[in-house]
Amino acid sequence: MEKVKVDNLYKSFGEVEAVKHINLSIEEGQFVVILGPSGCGKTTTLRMIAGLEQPTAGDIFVEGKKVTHLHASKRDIAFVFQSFALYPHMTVYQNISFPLEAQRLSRPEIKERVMNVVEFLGIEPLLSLKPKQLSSGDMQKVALGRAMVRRPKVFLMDEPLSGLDAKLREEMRAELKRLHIEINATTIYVTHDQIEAMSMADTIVVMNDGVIQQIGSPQQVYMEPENIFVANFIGSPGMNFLPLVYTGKNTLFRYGPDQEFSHPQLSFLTQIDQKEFILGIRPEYVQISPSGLMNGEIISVEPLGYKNVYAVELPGGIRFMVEDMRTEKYSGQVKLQINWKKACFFTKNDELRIKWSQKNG
Amino acid sequence: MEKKVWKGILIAVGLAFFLLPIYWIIATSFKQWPDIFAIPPKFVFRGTLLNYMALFNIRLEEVAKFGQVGKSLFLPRFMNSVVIAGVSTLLSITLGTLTAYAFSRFKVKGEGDLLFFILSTRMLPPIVVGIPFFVLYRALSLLDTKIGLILLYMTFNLSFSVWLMKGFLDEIPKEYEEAALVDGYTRLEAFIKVILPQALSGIAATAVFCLITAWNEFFFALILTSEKARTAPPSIAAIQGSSGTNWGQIASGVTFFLIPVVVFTFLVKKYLARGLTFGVIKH
Amino acid sequence: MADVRLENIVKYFGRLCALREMSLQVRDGEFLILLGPTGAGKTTTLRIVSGLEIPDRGEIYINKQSMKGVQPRDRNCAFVFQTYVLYPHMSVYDNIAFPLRSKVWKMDENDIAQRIDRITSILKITHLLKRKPATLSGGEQQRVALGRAMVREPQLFLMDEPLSNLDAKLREGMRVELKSIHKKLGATFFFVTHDHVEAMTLGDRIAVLNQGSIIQVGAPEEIYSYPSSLFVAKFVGNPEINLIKCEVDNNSLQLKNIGVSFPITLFPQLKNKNLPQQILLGLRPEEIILTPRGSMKGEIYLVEDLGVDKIIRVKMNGMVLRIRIACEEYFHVGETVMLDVDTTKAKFFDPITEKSLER
Repeated sequence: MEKVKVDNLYKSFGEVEAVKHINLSIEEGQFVVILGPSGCGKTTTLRMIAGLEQPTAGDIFVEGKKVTHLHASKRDIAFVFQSFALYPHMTVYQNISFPLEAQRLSRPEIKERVMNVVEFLGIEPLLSLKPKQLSSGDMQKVALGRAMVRRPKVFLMDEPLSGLDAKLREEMRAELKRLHIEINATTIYVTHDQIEAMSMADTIVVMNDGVIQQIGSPQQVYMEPENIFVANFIGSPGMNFLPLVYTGKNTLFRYGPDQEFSHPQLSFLTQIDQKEFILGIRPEYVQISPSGLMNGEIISVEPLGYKNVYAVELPGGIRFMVEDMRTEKYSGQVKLQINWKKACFFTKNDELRIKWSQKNG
Repeated sequence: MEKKVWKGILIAVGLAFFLLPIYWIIATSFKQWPDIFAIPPKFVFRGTLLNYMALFNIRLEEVAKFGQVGKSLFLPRFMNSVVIAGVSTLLSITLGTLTAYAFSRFKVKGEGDLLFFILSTRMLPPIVVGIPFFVLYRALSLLDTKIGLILLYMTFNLSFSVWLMKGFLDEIPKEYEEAALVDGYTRLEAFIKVILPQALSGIAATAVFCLITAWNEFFFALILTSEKARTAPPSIAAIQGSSGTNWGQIASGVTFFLIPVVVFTFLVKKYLARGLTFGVIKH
Repeated sequence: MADVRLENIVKYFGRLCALREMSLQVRDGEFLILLGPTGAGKTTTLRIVSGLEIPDRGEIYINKQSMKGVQPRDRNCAFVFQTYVLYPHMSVYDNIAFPLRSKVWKMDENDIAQRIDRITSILKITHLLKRKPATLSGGEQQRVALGRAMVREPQLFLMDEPLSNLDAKLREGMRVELKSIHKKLGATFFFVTHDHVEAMTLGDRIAVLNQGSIIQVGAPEEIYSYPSSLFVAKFVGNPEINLIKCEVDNNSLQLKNIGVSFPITLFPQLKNKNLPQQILLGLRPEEIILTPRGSMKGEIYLVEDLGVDKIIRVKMNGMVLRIRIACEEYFHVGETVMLDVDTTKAKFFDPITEKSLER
């Protein structure tokens, strides 16, 4: 039985449709990340699951029970806010024990549960401090502790790491992942940062404009994106796109104003009843090499220490991002080689990936 | 659904309770003399404009037939109220906003103490300073002058407007002026062009409170004025008829007196809604 | 010409010392990043350069002229705030035109229109001119704020973490655009951030600031490969550099945390140096190699699969090492792996002074 089920969920704010009939099914113990740009409806969806927002239509089920109109406090879920939302007038201990007081547990029971969580998170030294005396990383842990102490059915997290400095975010990502491996609690996590999603998720739900674009494992959304939006959104930098036009001859394709190339890998495209396609290839799979088929000029380079990311302009103005792990720095005119096995192809009009069974070679 | 019906009934009852006195006064202003005292109270009656005619000295011969006596001084007194309340509100808003800005943006020595001192002027029941003010005004020849009441109301409202406006101005991040400063504006220009437009809702809310306070003020208007500068509240209360207190005319006076403030509040309603909930700027 | 020179700036806020004798030079036309954690004093530095804040001690020079007593509006620099600070009661057009309508400029409305047209085309916001800021998305507001800064064609741009309120994807796109705008304008960009990836990708040079003092200034590769102190080594680089306690013993280096030792000749960077007995060995995640021919054994503790890039945490002798590898294989928690070390890239630090031993 699924832990959480979202059925045809729809939410509109006046004329604005925030969430348009989405369906989700989440298994016990899964870490599901709802990923999408600002305004795509991910936070609204999470808040509806929590009960902080009422759906306009559709239903939500937790462990088979319909909770759509149930008050948030009765759903047995915990919510971690982006801004932590710690009670400023209470100590860390009181903040964490607060949810349990509402459940009328006895004092010794409360203490045992709080100390359990506190030891697990490694925040014992902070117990008597007030939130304003804590660093943001510690505040984040206290917010987590407050959620964990209730042992809820589901954890809901709304961009919990975005209020942290870049370095802290990286550390907390690993900690959250490690935490999940140890507790194995069902978690629904919302973010706009695809690195967080790739790093922590068992399943990624990509959303845009109120609609689910794709549901899959990190590897699936990375290697087999359903459409151009997903292909571009996942990966940093996102996938490169090159419009191709079939010349009609052999496997010769045209790109840019007057460039042509041909490759056996493209032969399947000639059998499709269309002339225009979009080639998608990730920066990691494009290489600067003298045996490359495409010409380009390097316009800028981003040195990241362990790799260099080049912005290469192709004839016709298209920009390709190229990742290079080698230490030497390139510049000027270069030739690009594509790892054809990793290329994706999309139809031009509806931007969907062309799936084909004979992807051999 | 049932819950909503009960909610509706409760609200209707509450509204009726609060609006009943207002309805009664307005109704009374249109009632003939016997109807005013009728028992059981009359909610439906034959209306008359006699009370208003008496108030504004229209067709006094007709009015006299019904036992109203004497020329009404309502209109000049009403105009006094308009001038005094209006000018004093304008002054307390202007001075209050500028003061609040100084407290909000600059480091003022003893800020906490000063602000408390300003607020403390509101803690005094006005009656306590009634006689001292009378003596003071007599010495300064401010008795029965419009300027006397204007200064008084301005002073009393100043504390309120400083505190309210400081709250509103604090909500506006100082980065707004700073952006203007870096872009080539003086602080005064930045204040006028960038801060004031955003503080409008706060100003509207403060203006409404100051105006209502000055408009309805009774005690000092009574003791510090007599003829020339008397405002409406004391005069309405003293309207006499041939057989004692003229309730009908008083009711018409009160009803008419209500109109300007209600109109003003409706005019600034757009700004008021935002202003009354503080936290105007989301950033 | 717009170079900036800060000399021995000291700034207190009450008893808190925000800047301690801080000195920095921003070269004319460069894109300089001031990088540091929250509370390091970066915003304070920027505000002092702009004139919004006066230092307690020290001198500021813009174009070799002292800025003592010079008001912000006379310094000819543009400030881009983290929160954009767009005037909500004005349209986008009026927001961008605002600086040009001040008494300092008094520009003709036709000239203003021309300039705005040019700038909004570069920033691709021409279609937004009549809208009010509240109706724009974060990315659009960001560009309008940039437009308002650019419209004065200043020589010096001061930017206070302008990208941190943007979505991750938008941030990536804006980084490329900012770089090209910088190239196009040729102006000096003084950019502040806490994000080391942003610093590496955008800056011509990076100045690392911590607790009010400049720790190191240099090109991105220099900061990354030759950090002058432990702080810089840890702050720049993702995931964080691995630091292993070592003991120098005759001809070998004992890596105490992971129970391995290497002959000291494998580390040419230590040749002919006077070494304390205890030193810290710093290895960046990409400098530890997962290879079946490796000499060290460890157990996989955590795997972050980011596509081709993978970040793997391996436990060795109780210490967790962070490793970065680009490959197609899958790794699983609990798996045993063999590791090797790129000894030529290793960095060494004195654990007491926290300074690099190689400089």
